[in-house]
Amino acid sequence: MTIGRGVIRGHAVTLRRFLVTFARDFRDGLALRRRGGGGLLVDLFRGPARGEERVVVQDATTEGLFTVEYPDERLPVYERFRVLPVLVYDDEDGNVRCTSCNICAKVCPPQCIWMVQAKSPKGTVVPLPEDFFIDMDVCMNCGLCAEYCPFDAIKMDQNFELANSERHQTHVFGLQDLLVSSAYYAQTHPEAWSGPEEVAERAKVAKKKDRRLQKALGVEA
Amino acid sequence: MDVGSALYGTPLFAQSHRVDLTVSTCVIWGLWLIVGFAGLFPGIVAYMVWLERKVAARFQDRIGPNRVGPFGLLQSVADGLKLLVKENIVPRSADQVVHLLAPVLVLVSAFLTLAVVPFAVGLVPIDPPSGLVYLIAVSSISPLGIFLAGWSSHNKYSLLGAMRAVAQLVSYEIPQVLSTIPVVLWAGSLSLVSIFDHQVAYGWNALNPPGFLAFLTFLIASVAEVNRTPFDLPEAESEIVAGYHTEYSGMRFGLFFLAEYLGVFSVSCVATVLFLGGGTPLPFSAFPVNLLDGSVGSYLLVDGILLAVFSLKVLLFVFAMFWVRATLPRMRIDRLMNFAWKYLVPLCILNIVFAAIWYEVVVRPGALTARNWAWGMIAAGLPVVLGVQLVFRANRKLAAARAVDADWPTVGTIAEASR
Repeated sequence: MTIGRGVIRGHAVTLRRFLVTFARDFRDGLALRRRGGGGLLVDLFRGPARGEERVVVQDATTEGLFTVEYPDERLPVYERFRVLPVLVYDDEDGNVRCTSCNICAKVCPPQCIWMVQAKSPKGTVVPLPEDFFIDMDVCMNCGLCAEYCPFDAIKMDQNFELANSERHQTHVFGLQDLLVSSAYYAQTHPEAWSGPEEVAERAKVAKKKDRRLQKALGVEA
Repeated sequence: MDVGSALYGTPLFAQSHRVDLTVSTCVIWGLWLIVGFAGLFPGIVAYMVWLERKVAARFQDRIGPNRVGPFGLLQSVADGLKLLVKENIVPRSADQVVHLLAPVLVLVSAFLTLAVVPFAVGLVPIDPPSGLVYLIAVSSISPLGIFLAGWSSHNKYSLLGAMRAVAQLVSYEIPQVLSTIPVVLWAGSLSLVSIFDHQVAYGWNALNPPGFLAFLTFLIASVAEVNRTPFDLPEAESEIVAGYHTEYSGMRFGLFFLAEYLGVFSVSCVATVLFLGGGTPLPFSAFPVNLLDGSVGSYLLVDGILLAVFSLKVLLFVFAMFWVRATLPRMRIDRLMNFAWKYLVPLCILNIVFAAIWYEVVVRPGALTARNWAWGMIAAGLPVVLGVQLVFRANRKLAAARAVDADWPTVGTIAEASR
């Protein structure tokens, strides 16, 4: 009898898929838990706290495709993942690295960066930004600003949760929104931060920056 | 001439269900209406939707609803509220009254089907002596409702869906009805309660060759009757938007939705009663029913067992429908019609003859004996296998038309093969 053999085999394939999901949940100890959720059988509406979510890795070893329950579970964020630019200040002395040289603003393809140069009381130029703006609605996350920055001041951040209920005031990020510490950058980009070339480059740039700053302030004084 | 005496004794009158309309009958019917038809059955349907979404998600390596309540259990409540609150849009050019009436008709048909299902001993809303005829009659109201929905919407997709629905439902009603004839033949009654009693004495109907064939055809025809994949052409969303309920929104769409799942539930119940021995857990034993000794306690015990097993069997059918839905793609309309008229109908008609053989060998001698049963398996089993082979062979070889300019593998006719 060959009648309907293909249909029966097809049903066996889907049934296997169905059963495998239970085996997987059982193996992960998640059969009775909400995936990524609390450990209780009944955890009505409570999800894990921010930052304590289960990180789900989906790679070649993953059996089947499964949904990542995003707010409760996350995919890992890799170092080169980039969203918006931020301005780095050094933890040791609190100096903003940016010299307000305007290279990033010139190179920015959608022209979403602009800044105000800091001035001394005498009116001379100080290599610091008075204010710094990025329109996050316009930014296309290309990372050219970070590539071109001669002082390693502007870097690409990994925070992608930027949803907002108001867009006219809050979507143009000012200097205070953009500043992050070098410790934060070191945490999100461990490889870029601790590579030997990076360390040497950092020292060189810091020296250069320091010289320029001293010169500017010396003129002022 | 006295009209009453003229009518008395006619077959129609003799078949009528005679119930004393006492207070207790009214209370029981009221309870069935309020607890069963207004409370329990819609609740079951709501959770069937939840179950389908969960099961379908498993089949596709997803999770399914899990946001509203634990395991997403309150999802059906949220969905119901959403449907109730949504705006009810009726197209200006629609036939207003019919547009409102159509979903109600479909729903009524689905509800009425459940009225004769014996869930357990004594747990049946009504038991008319011609219950199966009633069942067929009320289940064929739903094509009317669907057609009215498509017609009144004044929309080409609705009308296309309705036309497909009517063609499909009318076609598949025939194998569905024909496949119940063996059951009626063996039980000697159209009453679903008698059919249940017959299976308590003679084993489940699905467990003999003609019964199994009838069971399969009934299942396939039922899936087509309730418009589920692979027979969901009337509401094929990739071709005709949503078919007959394209122009329905809000709770009117909700009624169609309710009716569809209620149809799945009632068809599963009917299949359980007709072929899987209702709520009996063991196929060839009268196990829980023979515990009845007239006391209330034994009644509760027996009905508890019967109800539990009954729900398990219904769940099995419901799961099977989900499974088929997760596996098979939609059929083409010409193949759908071919399958009903060229395969199922001839098979069902042949099967009535095989059922008669089984009746002569096993049922007529009186009680069920192992010797008769073995003889029946041979005498009826062989013809069933041959009959299935004959119908498929005839359709695939003899009656197969030569496809013109086919670039897909085709089946040659026998005349060609012997050339």
